[in-house]
Amino acid sequence: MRSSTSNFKRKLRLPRLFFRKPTEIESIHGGPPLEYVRPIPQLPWRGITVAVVLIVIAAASASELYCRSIGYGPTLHDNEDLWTSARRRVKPESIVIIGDSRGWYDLYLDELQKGLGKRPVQLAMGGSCAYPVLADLANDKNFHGTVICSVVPRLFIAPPGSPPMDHAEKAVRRSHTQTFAQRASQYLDMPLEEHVAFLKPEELTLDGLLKRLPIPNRPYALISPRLPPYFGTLDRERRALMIEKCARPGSELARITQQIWLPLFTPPPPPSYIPQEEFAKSMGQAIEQRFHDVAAAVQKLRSRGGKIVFVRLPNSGGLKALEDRQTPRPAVWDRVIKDTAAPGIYYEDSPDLAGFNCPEWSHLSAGDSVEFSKRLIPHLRAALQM
Amino acid sequence: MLFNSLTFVVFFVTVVAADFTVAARMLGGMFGGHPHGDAILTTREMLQIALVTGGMILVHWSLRDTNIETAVMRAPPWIVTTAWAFMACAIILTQGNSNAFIYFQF
Repeated sequence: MRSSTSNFKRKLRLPRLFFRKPTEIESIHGGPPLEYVRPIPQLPWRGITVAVVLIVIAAASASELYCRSIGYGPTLHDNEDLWTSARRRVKPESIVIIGDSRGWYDLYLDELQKGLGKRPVQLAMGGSCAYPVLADLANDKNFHGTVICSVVPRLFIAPPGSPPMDHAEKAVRRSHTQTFAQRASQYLDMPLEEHVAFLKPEELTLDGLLKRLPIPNRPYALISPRLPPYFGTLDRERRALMIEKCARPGSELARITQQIWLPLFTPPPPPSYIPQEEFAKSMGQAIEQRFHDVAAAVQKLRSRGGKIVFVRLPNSGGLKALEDRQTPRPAVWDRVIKDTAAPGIYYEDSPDLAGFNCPEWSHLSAGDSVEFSKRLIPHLRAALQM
Repeated sequence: MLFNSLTFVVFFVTVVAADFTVAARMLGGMFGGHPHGDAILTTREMLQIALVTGGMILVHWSLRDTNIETAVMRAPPWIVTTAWAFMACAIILTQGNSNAFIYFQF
């Protein structure tokens, strides 16, 4: 039997043999080069196959049981294809949530649907900048709905080429270029992810597990900070909910996650190959450009009858102190509201929104997200003149 | 041989790097072109690369006078079973991110 490998090898010889009919000698079984047959080693393959299948099933089951016993649960993973499936649900008059993970975890769709009369489409993404999605909606000539935009200043002004921008741009690009294979792959993947807990692409992969090895790095090495561990679940509608293990008072998972946010929200040192003044100048220009681009996108959206409201969602503890210090309210929030002349809801301005505590300093628990969303409704209705 | 070498170079340049400028920078770096570049690799990554590369050279060296089919035929069945099961478990652990059809996308 000719294997696919030998076919492939045969194809590699195309420049010499292209369209040439094999000679009689070459057609004889075993005669080089066209009749190469890969020898199958004489081994008890049936028994080996059964043993391998049993070992793999046992190992996968053991891994699943272990992962569940230490707190992992099945959940979908956010990626460009899942985002694209949500983007496809956006209708001309939809209410759309965009921005970062706070818009994802803190806004409970059922409550918003009750209060606003329409079920919002969840397009916010963890660790990403709102601008690429805002620009995409502004450029969508069919869209004239309502945008609820979460603002985390550090992410909102992330410069082009930075991970928060890349993340959002990749998702937007995928929504315009998704192939049938990518879409089919996502549909095949979802049932697996919804039932298997050890499928955690960023955490329980071979690479993720190797990252846990306590190997010290070079003291001068510039290493990206660690990403937070699994602390929430996601469904097909891209609704994110914090898991109970993280939301519990005094939770160890919450304490670990708090300490992960701090380096993640601290900008990396400027690159050594550019003079510092030049780097600071280029960053300043990039931020100015962002304010300008956001204002232009908002203007475009409004010219078609669309509406937008910016929301600053709760943060707590050391992360709130860090954000307030590094990106003070006048520097980003006030500037966005002033430049766009759009309504804004800053949670600290309203006593009914200000009393919430984020267990891991950045997001509300699942229970609190319901109550917070309920209390946010009157503010949203007023801001959007509904 | 020349054709194969050219194919390899073009493949390397177009697959690994986004464009020829980036590829030239990467190739320059491999030959000491950036002596004062920032250290961006973790120790674990460097160890991983060294171990995998060393392992591959070792396997190729040990098979220099034979081939994989003969080596598999000579190995006891339990070694083949273990290696196969290990590879299957490693594939599951590697967990593709909804790219199951990547080979149909070229």
